[in-house]
Amino acid sequence: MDFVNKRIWFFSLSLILIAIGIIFLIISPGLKPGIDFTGGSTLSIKFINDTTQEEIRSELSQIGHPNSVIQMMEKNTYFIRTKQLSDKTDVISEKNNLLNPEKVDVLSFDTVSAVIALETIRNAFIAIIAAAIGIFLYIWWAFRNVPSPFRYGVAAIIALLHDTIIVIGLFAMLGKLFGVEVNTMFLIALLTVIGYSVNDTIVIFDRIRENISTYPNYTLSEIANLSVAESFGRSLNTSFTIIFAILALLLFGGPTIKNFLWVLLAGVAVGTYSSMAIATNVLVTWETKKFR
Amino acid sequence: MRRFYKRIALIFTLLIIAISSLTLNEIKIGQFERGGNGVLGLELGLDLQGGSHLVYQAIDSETGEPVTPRQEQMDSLKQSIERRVNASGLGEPIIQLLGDNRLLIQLPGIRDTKRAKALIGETAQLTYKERTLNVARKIPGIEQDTLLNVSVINLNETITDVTTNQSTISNTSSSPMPVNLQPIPGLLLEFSDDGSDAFSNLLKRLENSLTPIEGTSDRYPSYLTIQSDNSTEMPLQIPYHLLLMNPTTLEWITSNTAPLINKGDAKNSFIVNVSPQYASKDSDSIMKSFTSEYGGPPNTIQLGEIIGRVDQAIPGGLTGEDMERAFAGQHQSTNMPIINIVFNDTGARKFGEITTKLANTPDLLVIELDGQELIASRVISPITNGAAYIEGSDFTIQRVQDLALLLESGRLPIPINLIQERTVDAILGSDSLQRSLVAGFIGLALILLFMIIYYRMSGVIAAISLIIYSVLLLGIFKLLPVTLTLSGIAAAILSIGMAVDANILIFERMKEELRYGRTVPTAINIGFSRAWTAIRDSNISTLITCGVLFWFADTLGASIVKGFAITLALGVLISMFSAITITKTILQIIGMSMLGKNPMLFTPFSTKSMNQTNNKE
Repeated sequence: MDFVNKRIWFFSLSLILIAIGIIFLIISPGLKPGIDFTGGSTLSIKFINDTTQEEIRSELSQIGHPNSVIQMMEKNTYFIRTKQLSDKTDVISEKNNLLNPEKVDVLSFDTVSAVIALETIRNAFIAIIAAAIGIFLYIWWAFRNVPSPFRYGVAAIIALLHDTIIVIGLFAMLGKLFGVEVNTMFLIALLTVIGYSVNDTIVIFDRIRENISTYPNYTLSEIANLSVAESFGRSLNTSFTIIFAILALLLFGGPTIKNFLWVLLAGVAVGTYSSMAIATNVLVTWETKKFR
Repeated sequence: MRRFYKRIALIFTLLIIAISSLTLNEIKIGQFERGGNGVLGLELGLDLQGGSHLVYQAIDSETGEPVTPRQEQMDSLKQSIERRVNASGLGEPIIQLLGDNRLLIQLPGIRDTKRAKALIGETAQLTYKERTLNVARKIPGIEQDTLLNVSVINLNETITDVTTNQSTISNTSSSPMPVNLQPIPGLLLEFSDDGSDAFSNLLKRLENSLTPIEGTSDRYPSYLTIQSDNSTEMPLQIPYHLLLMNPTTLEWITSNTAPLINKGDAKNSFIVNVSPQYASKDSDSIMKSFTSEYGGPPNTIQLGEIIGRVDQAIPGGLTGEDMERAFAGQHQSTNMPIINIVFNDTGARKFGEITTKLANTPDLLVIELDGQELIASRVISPITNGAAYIEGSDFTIQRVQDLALLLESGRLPIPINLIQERTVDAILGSDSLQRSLVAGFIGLALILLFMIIYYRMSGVIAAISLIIYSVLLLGIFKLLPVTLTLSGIAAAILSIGMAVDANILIFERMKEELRYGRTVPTAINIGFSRAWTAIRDSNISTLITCGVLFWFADTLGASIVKGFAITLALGVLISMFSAITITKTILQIIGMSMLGKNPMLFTPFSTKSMNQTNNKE
């Protein structure tokens, strides 16, 4: 396994993935924002009788919600997104034919005002920056005994941004293909991915830190290659176990946190890859000033 | 073995505490009380047990823009809402301040969110009024010179005329009207232009008085009164809904079925049907006596108006400010639901004055919230001690509770606005809980299986250590307590992944040491010390992320995020303990036993690959 000398391939692959993600983000409307980011209301409704999407759409139009989004979650269970409501009874009323309290169970009702939605976007941005800075400072400090500890922090942050952009791009794509919306849970998932990505990167950097003192005559390229090879088994096994857990939740868990889990799954895969292929190679490229 | 005693004792003590806390559904040691309604007595979040999560924002009463009030105002806001929600029987709410101008209200297991929101969000102004009933007055604008003529007519004759005319015009086959109908006395009033306008206005007032007061079923009809100078009887009281016919439009003004009359030229004339007032008299004498009483020149009759209700502000102004508190109760002797109101000193004085004035009159004391009537009540006796109660025939327990709360709401210190709601139905909640638990067990089982197959003896040890880890994690959730949410379960499962990672790091290092030909006990010790820096640094970076998430959640009121962050952080901390203490102790004990003589048990590779590695060295 020669990770370091093939770095131009890894960089190219990542650039392509990032480019695809960015293209999907740029094509309007980019990520499909949920009510947490725009304000509005959503309902998950289970109909007691068989009901089609078209029937719901026409009734929603009649009661003054023509631009609602309707998605099927399970048979006869639908996710409906409307403009901001003051209560679920604005839509579910005795007067209606289908959307009648006698004929449906409202599994969940969420409403978010535009005020709080704007704040969420701002806070999410700040949270990601704050997490990145905190982690960067910690790595810088934790690697203070190796040459150029600053670079380890930067490399970890580059890997972290790499993972974030790819996962966001993936969700822009899913939004276009399947109407997947991003919400607060998406942000948590993203932050978890950041945590995992850095976690994984640090394990490899720790190996490099140790090997630098064990083999003082080796070049950084050799040490990096050795460290990645030595950590390879651990990285894969850890990813596997976490992926097992996520898959179990995806298959057997409720539909409520599905999107969250997809982000985690993508994030763990990308995070494992980036620690070995990107973070380490950024260090080597910086040291050698060569991309190949 | 002796050097492990302390650690073994520690592990067992923690395990016993965790297991016993989980098996006991409720724990009570002095002030310390734990135990919830969920599985193993864990506290469940709203997404797992169903309920509403409401975030309110303090706003400016004029502009509706968000404002940041003083801390005391927010505290008193919280107290007011706490009192209201607690008294309403809406379950056990959790109310907390978020940041400096928001309030988070969690209502577990609630179904009627609309009622809850109405009770919480109501910030309207409470006003007291006195309501005088049936006030008689002259009709404004109708004087001797505006009422030109009054004549008595037989409505049945008029109507018959019309019907005959109509049938000749349309030539329909409708049956001819019966002749010799009993006479129906009516008055034809002829006004000047001004008088006609004034009378039309009166008609509008009479019509409006028939609409019940908004939010109630109470009506206070007004009447037209006609008093003849020649009559010794009481004035005629004529309500709107029976009696009036406009000859100009040839329609009954009221909703009665409308026979037509032939009086189209009299533009400012109105016909008043007075027949019900005479229903008792025998039919032949009706017209005669009526004509003698009312058929005189205009100056012999007086038109008047009785206003059904007149609402007036109480002199000196009694408002919500004057009230100390309002609460639901039951009448001591009748057990009927009542509302108790306690006034402060100035309130008691004003309330004493108004009740003294209203006592033993038919007039009412009215309480309005933002112009909407809540209660209209008669006053039995003067109340001067500032403590009153209100009873009503239509009062139910829930109605008096809601009314008491609405009375209290006049005193909410700052207006608030609902900015976020998350409501989860209990069915979805328990479904999510069940599915997550199943998924959690399957996930854990898969991980353990993988570890045992791949790492053999070490894997078995890891499995034991991970099971202990899971029990400790749940025990801590119960004892702290941590509210279990859907995102928290996700975090817990992720943290199991992290705990596994620590084990994997250690085993991989051990494996390397074994390959270098070290004995099992040495490999265990070196493996641990080598793996420790990686475990420490990677977990600290996760803790940093948790800290950021926690801060993010705190400013946002996103309890799902907060639950995730707390759970993950606890999971990471316990996973470090589990890897360093539990796995290590068990490994060392087994490593020193007979099993430790066989390195094969501890590595996933065959002897062949070990030898190859050794040869390279």
